[in-house]
Amino acid sequence: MTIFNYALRRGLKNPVVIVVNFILPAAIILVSFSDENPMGAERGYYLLAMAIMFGAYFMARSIQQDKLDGTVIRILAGPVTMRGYLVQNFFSTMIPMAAIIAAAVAVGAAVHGWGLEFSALLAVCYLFLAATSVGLAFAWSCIFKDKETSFAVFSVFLTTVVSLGGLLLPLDLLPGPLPYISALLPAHWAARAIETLLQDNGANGMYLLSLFAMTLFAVAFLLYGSKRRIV
Amino acid sequence: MKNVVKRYGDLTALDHLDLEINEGEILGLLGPNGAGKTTAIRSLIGLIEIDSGEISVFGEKQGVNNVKIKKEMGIVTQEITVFTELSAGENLRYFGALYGLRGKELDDNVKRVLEFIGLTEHAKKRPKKFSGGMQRRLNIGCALVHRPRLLIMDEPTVGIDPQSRNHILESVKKIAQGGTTVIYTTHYMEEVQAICGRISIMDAGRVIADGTLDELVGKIAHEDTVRLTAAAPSDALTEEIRAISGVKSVVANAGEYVIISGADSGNLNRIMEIAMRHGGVSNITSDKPNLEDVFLTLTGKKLRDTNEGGGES
Repeated sequence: MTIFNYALRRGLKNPVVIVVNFILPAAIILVSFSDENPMGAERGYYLLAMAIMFGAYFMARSIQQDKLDGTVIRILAGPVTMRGYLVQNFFSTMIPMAAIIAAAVAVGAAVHGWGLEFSALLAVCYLFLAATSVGLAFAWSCIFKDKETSFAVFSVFLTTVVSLGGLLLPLDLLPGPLPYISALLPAHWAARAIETLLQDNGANGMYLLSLFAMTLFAVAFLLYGSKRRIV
Repeated sequence: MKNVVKRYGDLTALDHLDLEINEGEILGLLGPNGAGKTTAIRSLIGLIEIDSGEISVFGEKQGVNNVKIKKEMGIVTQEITVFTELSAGENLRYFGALYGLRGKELDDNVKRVLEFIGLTEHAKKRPKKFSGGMQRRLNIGCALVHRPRLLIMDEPTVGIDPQSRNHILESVKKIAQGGTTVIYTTHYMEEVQAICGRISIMDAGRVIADGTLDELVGKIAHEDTVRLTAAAPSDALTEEIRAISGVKSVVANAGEYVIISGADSGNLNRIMEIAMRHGGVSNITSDKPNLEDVFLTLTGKKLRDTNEGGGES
């Protein structure tokens, strides 16, 4: 549990993590669900998903930091398997993310009167999105060696993903074939799940399909992150 | 390591490598950049998979998932690989805990290592505030907390001052006296000569010579080394010297020539004559061979001819 403990501590001590995972969701819940939101009060659910996607990525940067510090060589030279290393890092992000998502949805339910079933399904959707984002962070850390390049490219990449995926802008507003192309992005399926929840106020086929699609993305990213040579 | 092969695409990093180390000794692993030292070390410690061959440590087959063997080993990396956000003491605690130490055992070992590396008074400071030598000592300390039976040190003295280097070399001797087997890679001949009981020279992914210092030097005892500084170095000068009968190796670097020639061959005069025709010499000496010359004869390269600071190999 040494890796888990330290990754958790390092994640929670990061000021960017505090802003993106605590202050930003609170601001979105209190401000964006207002009827005065020019894009509509419902946009708040999508913006919250976007904050969670970014937040999970920042929480999961411990692996990237280990790689940049070179400490990953020392860790994996020790009595630790690659799988054990990734699993401990994965849970060091997902456990706090689960708590953050639960707290955000609970506050949302209290402030905006969301029902219990709706809140639970929304939290599950956010949790799957967070897992996808953590997987993406692991896979990303195998691509770039340089921290600054990695961060700069990832910022552009993630902004594109949330824009085309329907979290920043509604999917209906995307021109031409973009809504269909965006199905290749995990954010698209989070947007679909939220859309379904808002329309039907419960789980249906599309909601479950969206969760399944996000699971596939998460597994693919995690497998890529674990198979690629990290040292 | 027996017949070990490791390829990266078209590059063969380890080419049927055979390497053996006896328990309790300090083995010096020498080789130029690209010789395969770091790949050999990473294979041995179970960081990377090998393509073929066999690696066994303490009688057990080594592999990337053999945590039992890995627990008995420690690695001192070429780069400083410690957590910059943790203090020296916390770094030692982290790596001790990673190897399963807990409670009083962990406390005692952290205290012991802090004393050993001379950082007791700096235990609460972060490595960012340390000098290069102190960072290197912490880098070594992190590999010692769990008392490894086999310690692998990959160029642990790169880029530090002579005083810190001496401290580290003395430490390595003490570690070995305590019963730990040490593999020590370096670009510095004088370090190998000072601490290693046996030396293996690697080039192009394989061991090309192995033995004690005396055994290795004895292999070229019938040769002389001529060092000269040419006033007007040129390719023509190099080629003319190389063409002299009995000259086995010529390495030229920025006007400095190192020439290995058969002993008592009278080649010193011939080399002088040629050099005078090419603009003269500002300095010339002739010596009996040392370890550097052994390396030069066997590999045709100087240990530090490409990158003084060392590098990935």
